Amino acid sequence: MTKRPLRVLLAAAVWLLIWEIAALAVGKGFVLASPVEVVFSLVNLVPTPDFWLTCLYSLGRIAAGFCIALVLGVALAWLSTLAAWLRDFISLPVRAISAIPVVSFIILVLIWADSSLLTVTVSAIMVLPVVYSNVLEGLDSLDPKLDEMAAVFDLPRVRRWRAVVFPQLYPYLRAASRTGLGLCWKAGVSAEVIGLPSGSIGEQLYQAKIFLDTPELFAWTAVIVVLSFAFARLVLWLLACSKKLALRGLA
Amino acid sequence: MIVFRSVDFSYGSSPLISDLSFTVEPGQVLALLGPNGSGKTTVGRLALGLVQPTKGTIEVAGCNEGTPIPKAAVFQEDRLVESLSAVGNVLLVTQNSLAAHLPDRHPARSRRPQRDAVPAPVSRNEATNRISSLKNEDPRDSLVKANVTRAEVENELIAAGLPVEHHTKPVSELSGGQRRRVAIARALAHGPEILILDEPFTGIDAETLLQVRSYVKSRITGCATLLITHDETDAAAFGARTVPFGKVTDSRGESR
Repeated sequence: MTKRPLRVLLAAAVWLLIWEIAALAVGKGFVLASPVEVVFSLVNLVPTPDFWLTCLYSLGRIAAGFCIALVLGVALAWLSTLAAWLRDFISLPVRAISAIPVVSFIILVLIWADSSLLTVTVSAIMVLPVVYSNVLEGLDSLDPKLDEMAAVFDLPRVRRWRAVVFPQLYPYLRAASRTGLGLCWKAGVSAEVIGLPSGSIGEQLYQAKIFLDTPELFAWTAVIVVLSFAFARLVLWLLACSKKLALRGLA
Repeated sequence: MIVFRSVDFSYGSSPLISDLSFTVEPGQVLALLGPNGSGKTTVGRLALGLVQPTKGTIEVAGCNEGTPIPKAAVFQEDRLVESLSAVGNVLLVTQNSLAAHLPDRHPARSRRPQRDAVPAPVSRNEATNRISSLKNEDPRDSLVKANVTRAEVENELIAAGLPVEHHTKPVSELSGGQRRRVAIARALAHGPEILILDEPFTGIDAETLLQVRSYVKSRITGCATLLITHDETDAAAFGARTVPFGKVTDSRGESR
């Protein structure tokens, strides 16, 4: 084992110890659950089919929201490069979205649509400005000299995109995804807690709050952290694969 | 063939090129000699069609009428794709290149390096590396199934003086001189009929310079080549018509 993982493990152990001591000091599980209680709660939750269905429900909707934001953000950023008036036209609402509190969107979606659409919509809305601004910045900073090179050597359009444009955009897409991934989980689960779509993680968090089941609240929070981390790793891995695929045979 | 007829060009309101006329036939090298800022690079850009003249006409013609003309350039800046290797940068412009679609006896094709024409001896380690990299090639790869093989590209890079160990590194890890050699190999491997060399030997060390020059000379026999340089020895090395920029002559050497 290298030094850093050992240090991280030690730090985690110390924090868990502090948490355990604090929980013992408080002495009331419904105020501050101890790590042991949380683990027991998780052990009870994980084997049940409902646990997996709940995870799948929220994961599916948040992932869908993220994908919609990614596609829409890239498309709108590309449209914004076509004309100055189009950029102003698109930038204005996107900037407004990033300034509006997430709760306002949640309430609006609940008024306008079914609560089952809440997670997807709110996740997408929160991630869209991040993707748009990052990709637009990437498109603005594309090297025009490389574009001239591609024109001189008469590169076919698809190869131009794959080998010249995409590698330049890749760091911006990656940065957008890293920021957006955290955001979509926070926004998505918050929306579920307010809108209470049936069978979601947010609903479970709300139930835990109603019944003062703090260990389960902590357990679901831990599940969200794990799912968010795994989803982020998967997306970043897929992005890296897409770059490899784009440069296949040329790297 | 490149023909400039009474070409004017200006950036905004400030004129840069005025009444420029010249002709470069296939197989000829015309060297534009002049100080920085005199508009030499702009002449190259005009010939490549990247900018349009404000007055006059430019004709760029290939051997086969009605077909696209294979053009290539060694730009003043390398203009390499940083995330690609040296081999990748050359493959990028050679796969399905225009010259590859030309008849076998076309001059642009005949300049292509042959598989067995490795101009420099290769050590055992280098040979092993090359074979293993070829083995790793995916035959289904859409970008590698075209006309110029990786082995041919590697030959081109070796001829341009780039050692084999640098072929698969990202070009961002190469030195200025090495990057220059990749840019030269890329332009020549494209099989151009029209070639613009803009300060092509900048940054190449004196030891390699002779090899790179002779490599370029051997590959441009059928091209109409415009050599943009401030170094008279470059022009002399190519036996080019040496024309101080601003007093350009046509292919018959007549001043205009």
